[in-house]
Amino acid sequence: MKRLLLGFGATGMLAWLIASYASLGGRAVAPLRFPSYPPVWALQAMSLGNKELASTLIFYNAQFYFGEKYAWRRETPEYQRLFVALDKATDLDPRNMDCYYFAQGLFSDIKPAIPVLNRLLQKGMRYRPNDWYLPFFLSANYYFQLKDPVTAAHYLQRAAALTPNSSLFASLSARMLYQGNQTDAAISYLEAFIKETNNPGVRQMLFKRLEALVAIQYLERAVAAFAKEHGHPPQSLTELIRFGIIKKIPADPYGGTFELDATGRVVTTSKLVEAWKNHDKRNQNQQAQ
Amino acid sequence: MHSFACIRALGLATLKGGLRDRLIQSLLLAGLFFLLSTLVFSSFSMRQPLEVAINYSLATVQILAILVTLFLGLNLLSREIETRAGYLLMGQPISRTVYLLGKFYGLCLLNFLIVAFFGLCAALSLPLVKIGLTNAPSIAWGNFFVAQLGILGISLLLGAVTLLFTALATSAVLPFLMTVGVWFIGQSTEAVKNYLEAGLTAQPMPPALKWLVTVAYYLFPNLSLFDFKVYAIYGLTIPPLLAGYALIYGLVYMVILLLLAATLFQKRDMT
Repeated sequence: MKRLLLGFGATGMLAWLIASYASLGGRAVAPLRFPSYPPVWALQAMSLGNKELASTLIFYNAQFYFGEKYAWRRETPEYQRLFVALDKATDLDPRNMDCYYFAQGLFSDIKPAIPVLNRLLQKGMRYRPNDWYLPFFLSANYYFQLKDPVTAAHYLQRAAALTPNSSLFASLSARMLYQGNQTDAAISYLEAFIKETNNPGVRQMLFKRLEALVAIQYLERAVAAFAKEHGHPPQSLTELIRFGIIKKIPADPYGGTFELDATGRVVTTSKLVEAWKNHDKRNQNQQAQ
Repeated sequence: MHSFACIRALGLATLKGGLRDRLIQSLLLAGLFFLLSTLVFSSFSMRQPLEVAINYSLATVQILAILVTLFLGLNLLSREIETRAGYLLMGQPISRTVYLLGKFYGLCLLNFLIVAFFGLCAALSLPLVKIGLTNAPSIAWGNFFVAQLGILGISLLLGAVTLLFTALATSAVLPFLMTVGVWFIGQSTEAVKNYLEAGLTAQPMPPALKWLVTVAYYLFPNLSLFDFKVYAIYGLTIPPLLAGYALIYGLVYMVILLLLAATLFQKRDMT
């Protein structure tokens, strides 16, 4: 009887302790620090022939740490340590996609981390040559953070070559190449891509971008001819018509207007992006039909 | 009785003893639990749950197979000699070499059964992980099988090492500890040697340490040679030359260990 009472008492006490733990909040919780892992060769030796598992365990630890630190405690995580850990995890198993995916999610918004993050993703590309995610991530980092549309376009082209449904990547990389003053390369790339694309809808989308790029190329050549003839670039595109270099300014298939920006570069007000208005119109037409 | 028949009979007796061993039974139960947890473990992966499941299940099979070898070596070989239970058999008209080979044969049988059993459990758990996954890669079953054979190779080599130390040592725990040491060294020498040769150390390494690592690399069995897990996890093509080399290396190393063990056991004073 005494034992039974003691058992009930202890169980009740345990239930009370568990229930009251949540109410302690962060006040009675030990500080959370991310561990600093030993060198890779030591990790490999300690894994006793299971370096892929060790890599997964480091990734899991990083993932759980970040979840608790950032989402639950609302504290700033130790980003540098996290990066070093993921770098070591990918040295142990360079094919561990979880690490690259997590690293991109964590560090792509931190501009100073982009060079090291890109090096990590390039390591992944060497070992996962058929994974389109890695060149896609690199492309995004070069485009949005390093403001290097040409390198971004090259990585996006590699991503496009690896995924069967790559028309969007192809179209995007052509746009990036144009933004990096590589219109000729963008046209050649799109032409090659269109040849290999069978889907009529996708071909239509790519043809539209090609049409816009050909118009830009046409205007760029006219601007170059003007500059050669007059020794200075034109003030505006209408000057090209006035001096008889072209007969008219081609239409932008995206609904914008071609013009020269402050640096004398041919740009369009549509920025080669489908306008919301056009979508609305199309939707309205479809609904009316 | 013919030597081969003696080896066979001793092997089967060792196998039965191993299956009856409580410690081995507990390890088998723990192994089943770990393999069942594959589903939970792999669910934390962001992009490659199937790869993580293969990785985890193969690592579990490897660790269990090695632990069974170590404890079996301790319970069925070293302790039998320490408690002189084996003397009853050695009093029979069989040579000590036959006794040793019979024990090794039993160890091989048990290891084979354990790797096959856990391998089958792991193989059954993988399709469960695949349910609900979109764009999951196909499982390279051939590579998965080769990885299991690699695990069997490691545990058999360690079994032969246990036998050698049992023939040498007078205490039961010593061969166990020494085999654990060989396992640690055998799994890591290649990594350490490659690291030293790559010249990545911050301070120049003393030549004596380099020499020591080189000696350890050639003297101890290179167990990382038998690690085919990465080929199974990512469905990579296994270089046939590497697989063939590992097979021949394992066989030659095992023969040398057994010869040494038999010679030492023959000369051992059992009184």
